[in-house]
Amino acid sequence: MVIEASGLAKDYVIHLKGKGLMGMAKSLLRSEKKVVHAVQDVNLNMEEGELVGYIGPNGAGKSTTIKMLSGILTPTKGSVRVCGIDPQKKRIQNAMNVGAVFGQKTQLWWDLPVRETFDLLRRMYNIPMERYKRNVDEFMDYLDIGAFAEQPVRQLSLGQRMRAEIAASLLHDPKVLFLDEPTIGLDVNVKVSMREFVKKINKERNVTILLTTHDLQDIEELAKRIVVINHGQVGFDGSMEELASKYADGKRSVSFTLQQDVPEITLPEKMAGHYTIEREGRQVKIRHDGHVNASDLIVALIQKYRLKDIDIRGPQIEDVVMEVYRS
Amino acid sequence: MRETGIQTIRKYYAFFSANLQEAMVYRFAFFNNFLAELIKVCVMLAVWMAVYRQRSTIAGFDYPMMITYLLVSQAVNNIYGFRNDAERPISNKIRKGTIVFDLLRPVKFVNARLAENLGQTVFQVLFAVLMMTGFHIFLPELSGPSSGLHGILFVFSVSAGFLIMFSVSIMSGLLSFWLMNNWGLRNAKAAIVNFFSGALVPIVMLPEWMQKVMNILPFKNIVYVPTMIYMGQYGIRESLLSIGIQIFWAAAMWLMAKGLFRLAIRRVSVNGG
Ligand SMILES: Nc1ncnc2c1ncn2[C@@H]1O[C@H](COP(=O)(O)OP(=O)(O)O)[C@@H](O)[C@H]1O
Ligand SMILES: [Mg+2]
Repeated sequence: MVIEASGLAKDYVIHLKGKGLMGMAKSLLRSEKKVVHAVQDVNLNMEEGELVGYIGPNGAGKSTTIKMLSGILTPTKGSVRVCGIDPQKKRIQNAMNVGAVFGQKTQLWWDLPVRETFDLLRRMYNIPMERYKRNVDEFMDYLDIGAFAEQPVRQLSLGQRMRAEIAASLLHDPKVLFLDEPTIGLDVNVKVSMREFVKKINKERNVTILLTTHDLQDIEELAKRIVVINHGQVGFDGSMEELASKYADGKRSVSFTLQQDVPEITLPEKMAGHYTIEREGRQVKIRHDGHVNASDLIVALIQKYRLKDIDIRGPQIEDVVMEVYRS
Repeated sequence: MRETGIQTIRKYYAFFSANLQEAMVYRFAFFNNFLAELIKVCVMLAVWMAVYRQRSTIAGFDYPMMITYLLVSQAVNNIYGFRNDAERPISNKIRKGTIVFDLLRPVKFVNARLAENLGQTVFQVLFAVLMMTGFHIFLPELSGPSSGLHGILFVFSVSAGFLIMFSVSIMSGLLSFWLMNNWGLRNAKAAIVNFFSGALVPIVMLPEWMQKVMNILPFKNIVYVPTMIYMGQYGIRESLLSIGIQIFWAAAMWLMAKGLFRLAIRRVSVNGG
């Protein structure tokens, strides 16, 4: 196991400030505290080379989990091992094993050119020259960084900066990569090239990657395994297919318009119990679950009825995720 | 795999050069600061000149001594940084949450900040030397180090003073983990350090009871002691002893800064996500 987290929990203590001058004076004397259970009892194991999509609504506890896994935050409870070591106790050793991108923060030197930043990172991580050259060449080429490598970071667009960020996080060949909303605010082109890059790194270098994002297309294209967190608790951990079959019931449907009046729609025996029919005159919507194949359903229908405007809906990942968030 | 000493030094050197390069980017802003500092020193000079028109010595300091004290102490202060605010970058990083990246680097936090700070200091030393050279031309009363040996001891004394100042600043910066807005604290620290270090008034000129307080506090080791050594107010023996005390304080404050860092990352959280 590259990442082993068990019973992970983090409470934040917030000191509430009173309103107005009187309230402020009061809070100086006796401050009111509020405890936020940001993460509660999270268990997460990841094998080498796994790419896990870690999703959940805002404030679910994703970033807090990543900060604990990367050794930045001390867990209130539970234990973490990354590459076999406690990331907080052995912070320096851990730093050599992990890389991170936080979409809302920058690790680059604002006033220095990208190339200079890379060179500083080379020295900070003692990256052998030959390996450094290989990495920089590959990343610059693949992410098209060469075009702006000599510009100071403050002059870069968000898309350019994020490409530089992800390259920077991988220069020292980390075994583990934490990506916390790396695609936030990016346009489609940059998103696509970031995705391709992450896929490539994961495949070619066997880097273990934990990815959080609100873009479900990132998840669909990158993650075989999905972990859903909500209110600090893991609600689901499994494959995309499992997620779909577990939460997508009633999310698949076939809609059509009948070309003649039909008193009642009947479907083959074997589909019984796996569908429901909603009907309004000639407009029909059949919702079905994973036991019924949409194509079988349509074949059965067109053998008996004349249809038009057929609309097939698979489980939309958005719907599925909403369902998980709700439950 | 254990890293060699050279590799460790190279890592920290990267932090040093990162800041040196950033300082280069802002060299014009830097020269603005130079100018502001220069004006401040000239104003202080004018005040003391006026004071010495009334009397010839104060607490054993005659006019040329006072001029020397003033300029040397200001030069020392400038070596440490114009506003003695090594904590500002730390506070900002804590507020914005970018401190996460400092915590993800394979280096000791406080040591890396020292390396960064030294990157800036190169410029500050340069400025202090330029300033002193300039004043030597225009102020014949200004004297150099009282002997070659005192000059050498002065360099050691300033280095120790630098470490004390740096540790105090780091601690003040780390307090941002608890107090999200430590602007007030920073200003209070600057005022306290300025006064108690002897950067405003030579400590010997203050009332007896105040001198006693200052002798207990570490701050006089930051500016007053190096300046007195430069001026030859301390004999060689006394200078060596003073440097010994400075080294003690430097080590103590450094360890305290490290302890506070450990406490900070264990106890407190990082902003934003
Ligand atoms: N530094 C902090 N201090 C207090 N509360 C925090 C802090 N960071 C996060 N939280 C709270 O913890 C919860 C989880 O936050 P976070 O892990 O950032 O969520 P996510 O990344 O999933 O959006 C939220 O309720 C948030 O308000
Ligand atoms: Mg977050």
